Amino acid sequence: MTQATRTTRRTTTPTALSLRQVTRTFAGSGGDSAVTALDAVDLDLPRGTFTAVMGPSGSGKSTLLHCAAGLDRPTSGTVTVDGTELGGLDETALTRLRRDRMGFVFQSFNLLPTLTVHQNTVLPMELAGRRVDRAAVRALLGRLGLADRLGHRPAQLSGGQQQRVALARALLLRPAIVFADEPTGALDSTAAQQVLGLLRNAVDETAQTVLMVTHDPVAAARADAVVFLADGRIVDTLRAPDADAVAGRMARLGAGALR
Amino acid sequence: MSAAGATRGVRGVRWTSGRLAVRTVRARAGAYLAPAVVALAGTALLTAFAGLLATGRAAHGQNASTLLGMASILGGWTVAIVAYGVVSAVALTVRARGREIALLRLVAATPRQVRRTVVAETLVATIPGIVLGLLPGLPLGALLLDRLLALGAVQEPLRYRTDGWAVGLAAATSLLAAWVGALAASRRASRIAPIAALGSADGAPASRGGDGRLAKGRRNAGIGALLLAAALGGTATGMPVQGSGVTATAGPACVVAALGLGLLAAPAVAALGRLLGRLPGAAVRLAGRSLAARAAQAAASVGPLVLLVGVAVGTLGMQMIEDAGSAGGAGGGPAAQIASANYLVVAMIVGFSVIAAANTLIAAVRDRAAEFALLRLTGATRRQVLASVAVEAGATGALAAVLGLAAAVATVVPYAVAKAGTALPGDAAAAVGALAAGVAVAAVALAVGVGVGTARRVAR
Ligand SMILES: Nc1ncnc2c1ncn2[C@@H]1O[C@H](COP(=O)(O)OP(=O)(O)O)[C@@H](O)[C@H]1O
Ligand SMILES: [Mg+2]
Repeated sequence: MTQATRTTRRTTTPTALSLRQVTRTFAGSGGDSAVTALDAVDLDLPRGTFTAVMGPSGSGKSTLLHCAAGLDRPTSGTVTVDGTELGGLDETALTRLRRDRMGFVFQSFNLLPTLTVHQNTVLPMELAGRRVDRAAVRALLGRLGLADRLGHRPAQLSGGQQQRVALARALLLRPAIVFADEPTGALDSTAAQQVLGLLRNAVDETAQTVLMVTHDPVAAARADAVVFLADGRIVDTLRAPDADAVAGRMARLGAGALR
Repeated sequence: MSAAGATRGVRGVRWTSGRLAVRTVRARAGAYLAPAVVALAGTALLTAFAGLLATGRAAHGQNASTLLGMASILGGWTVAIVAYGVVSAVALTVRARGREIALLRLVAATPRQVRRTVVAETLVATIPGIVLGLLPGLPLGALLLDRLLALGAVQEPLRYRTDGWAVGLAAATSLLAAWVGALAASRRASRIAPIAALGSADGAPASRGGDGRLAKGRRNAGIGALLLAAALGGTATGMPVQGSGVTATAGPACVVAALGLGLLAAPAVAALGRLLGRLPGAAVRLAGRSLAARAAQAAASVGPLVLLVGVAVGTLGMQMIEDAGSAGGAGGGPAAQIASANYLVVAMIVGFSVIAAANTLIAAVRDRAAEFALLRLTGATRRQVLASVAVEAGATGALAAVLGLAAAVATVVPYAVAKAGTALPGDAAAAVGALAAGVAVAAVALAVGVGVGTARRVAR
C-alpha cells in the first residue's frame, strides 16, 4: 500500500527538488555582521538527473544542500522535495520524509563507529520500522564490492570502502533524491571514480536524482549539469559539462572572488 | 499505510531501539560504566535501608519509629543521589557522543527514537549494576542494624529481617531512579540537530551551552530548587525546639539547594574559565580557555561535588550544633546515641556521593582523550596537558566547594536559629568551621586526584 501511494506521487511530480527564492542569513556573533549564505536562490531538479554544485569556498554550497535536505531552515523562501513542501513540517515529520525520500553521502563518511557494515547499511530501514530483506542488502553490498566486509566495523575499512557503505545506506531505500557533499573529497582518484560511477548508476538505472557538491572538475563532469555559486547566488549553469570547461569557469569565478 | 502496517512499524522501532542500545552499550562499555557503578552502590544502600524498613515494620514502639524514620529519610536521599548521579553520568555520555547522536538523527532517527535509545542504553547498562548491588546490600543492612544496636539507637530484642518485599522495593526504587535520571538526560540528546553530524571536530560543542548560557528549563528548575530550599529553611526557623520538625525541614534544604546550585553552575564555570584564561602560564591559560569553552560539560562534573559538599557539611553541621546544645545537659543520653547513629549513616551517604562524584569526574576526563591527543600533536608536552587538567580540576573543585558550602548554609543556619536562637552558636562555630574547611579541601583533592589520575591513563 505504501508502495502504491509512493509510486503515484512519483509519477505525478516530475520535479524531485525545487527551491524558490531561498535566502539563508546567519546572525553575526559578537562584533561580526550577519552573513548572507544564500541569496534568493531558485533551483529545479527534474527527476532522474545528476546535478553538481560548484563555487569558491564559502560561496554557500553546503548551506544550499542543507536547506534543500531540510537539515537547515531557510530564512525565507520555500523548498519542495518530491512534492512535499518542507516549511510546515516539524522535526519528526522532516525525519520521516528524509528517511523515505532522501539519501545522504558526506565527505567524512558519517558511519556509526559502533555498528558493523551490515548494521550501518540497514539502520535507516530499521529506524523506519521496515522489514529488512537480508538477501537484497547482501546483493547491494556485493555490487559495491563489500560482500566480504559485512561484519567489519568502519575503523577496519579504507576510506573508499567506508564511502561505499555510506552510499549503500543512502541507496538502500531507493530515495527519490540523494544529497552528496564532497563525497569524493577524502578519497584517492580510483575510489573517487568508483563512488561517482555508483551515483551515476542510481540516476541512469533507477531514475533517482542526485545533487552533489564538489570541488573537483573531473567529478563535476560526471553530472548532467553544473550549477556555479558565488556569494550565495547562482551565477552560471553548464549543461553536459566536460572537465576543462568546468575548470575554466571555476578559474574565472576564483579570480572574481579574489578581486 | 494500513493499521496492521503501522502496528508492525511501531513494534519494529521499539525492537530497533533495544537492539541498538545493546550494541552501543557493548561497544562503549567504558562510557556506560559510570551510571552502572552509581546504580550498583546506590542499590546496595537502598537494599540496606529496605532491610531496616522491613525490620522496623515487624518491630514495635520506639524501635519501629526510629527504624522506619531513618530508613525512609535516608532512602529518599539515596534515591535522589542515584537519579542525580545517573543524570550527570548520562549527560556527559550524551555530550561526548553528540556527533554520533546527530548522525543517528541524520540517517533517519526521530527525536523520540533518539530519546528512547538513550533511555534504553542507560537501562541496559544500569540493570546489571542494580542486580549486583542487591547482593552486598543484604549483609550491609544487617551490619548497619548491628551498629545501631551497639550504639543504643535501637534496643534488643530485635531481629534483622529482610524478605522478597524489601529486595523488590530496593530494586524497584533504584530502577525508577535510574529511569528518571535517564529520561531527564535524554532530553538534551533528542534536541541535538542532525546537521551537527556534519561539523568537522568530534566532541565539539554540539549545541548551546558551550559559553555557559543556560537553557530556560534548566534555569527555571535551578531557581525553583533554590526557592524551595529557602522555603524549607525559613519554615525550619519557626519550628518548635523539641520534636523532629526542625530536622525534617532543615535537613533536606541543603540537598535541594545543592541540586539547584549544581543546575546553575555553568555560567559560574564559564566566568571562572575566562578569569583563568587571562592569567600567566600556558597550562593555566589552556585550562581557563577549556573551561570557558566547555562550561556546560565541566558543570556536569561540578554538580555531584556540590551535592557531596552540601550534604556532608549541612548534615554533619546540623548534628554538631545538636551535640553542642546537648553537651551542657545529660551527656551520653538518648540524644547522644541517636547522634552517633546519625554520624554513621550520614558517613555512608557521603561515601556514596564520593563514589558518584568520582565516577562523573572520571567520565568527564576519559571522554577527552581525542582532545588531549590533538594538544600533544600541536606541541603541548604531556606535563603541560596534565598540568592544565590539574588546574581545571582544582578550579572546578574549588568552585564546587564554594557552592556546596553555600548549599550547606541552607540547612545549618535555620537549624541553629531554631535550636539556639542565633545563626551560628559560639560553642559549635569552631567544629562547624573545621568541618567546612576539611570537606572543602577534601572536595578539591578529590577533583584534582581523580582528574589527573584519569588524564594520566588517557593522555599519551
Ligand atoms: N552555522 C553558521 N553560522 C554562521 N555562518 C555560517 C554558518 N554556516 C555557514 N556560514 C557562513 O555562510 C557562508 C557559506 O558557507 P558554506 O555554505 O559552508 O560555504 P561552502 O560550502 O560553499 O564553502 C560562509 O560565509 C560561512 O562562513
Ligand atoms: Mg562546504
